[in-house]
Amino acid sequence: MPDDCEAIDNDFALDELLVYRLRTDDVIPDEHGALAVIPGNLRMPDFSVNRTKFSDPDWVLYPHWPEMGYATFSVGDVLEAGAIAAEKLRAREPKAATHEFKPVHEPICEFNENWNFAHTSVVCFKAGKPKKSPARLARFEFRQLLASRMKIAKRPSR
Amino acid sequence: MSQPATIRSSAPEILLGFAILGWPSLADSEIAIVSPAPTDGGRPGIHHSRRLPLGLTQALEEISALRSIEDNWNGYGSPAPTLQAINAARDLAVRLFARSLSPDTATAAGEGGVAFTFLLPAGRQLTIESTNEDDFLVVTSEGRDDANAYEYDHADIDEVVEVAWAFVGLQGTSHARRA
Repeated sequence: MPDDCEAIDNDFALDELLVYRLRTDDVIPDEHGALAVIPGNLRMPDFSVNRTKFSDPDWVLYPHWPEMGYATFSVGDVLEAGAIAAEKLRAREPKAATHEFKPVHEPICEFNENWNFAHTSVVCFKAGKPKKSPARLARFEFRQLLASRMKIAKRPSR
Repeated sequence: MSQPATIRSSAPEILLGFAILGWPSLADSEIAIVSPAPTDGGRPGIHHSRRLPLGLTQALEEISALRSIEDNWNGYGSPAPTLQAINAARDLAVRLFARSLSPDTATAAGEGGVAFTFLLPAGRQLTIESTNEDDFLVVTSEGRDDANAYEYDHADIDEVVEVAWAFVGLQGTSHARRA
């Protein structure tokens, strides 16, 4: 890991896993008894994750959430879900600005317990610029598509 | 013989549904009444979603409990549901149960508001949100690569219920989801 916390690295491999922390209330058993992530609980945009290039998945539980769980998904999952949502937007609104969803490395460089070099946000780029207000329906469709790609790697107990 | 159909929720809701819609035709099917346990024993204001196994009354109580949560309830900066969103969610819950549609969970929504989630067989999902923007947001999904979102004004609440009814696809039965 770089010594310089501000050494931002936006080189993401497609198979790099991203880690999203889960509470018990964020998951639900599906028809087979496996847990699924509840899409409605996800917050978009400003969707915070840790990237595994710079952290172990368990680090997402540090420092306050040891009993929570986490789901993983790949950078490729983000791009794939984003491409589907963007295509649907184009079909619905041909003149809408292009939307691209992708991870952005955003280290938290506070020199306290919140320090987190692996912190990453899933961001929507609208016409090439990061926006906090992507088209609403595209945002919700992306959220659904991404939730369906999440794999629960650690079950939450709280 | 097909897989047993599953009936969730409690008898009063089932009977209400049957009274409205008629008894289901479940030839070649068996009915299993399942009352799933809550996923946690949490306290209002601490845990913000519940399975809804106990019927409409309990559902309304659970939705009302969302009034006690505060902004950043999930640690990701999500806003608490507004009172308007909660009231609209209660109204929607009444109408959903009247059509024998019982969500699997009611949660505080990540983007603000109240979210109802239906997990259906074959990976299908339905989410209905009573949003903090004073409308309803419906997302249907037929599977991993499918998602369709729709917005509805509060005045169109009955249309939301109809969309839910059509999507859940009860196949002529009430409250039954074929496994």
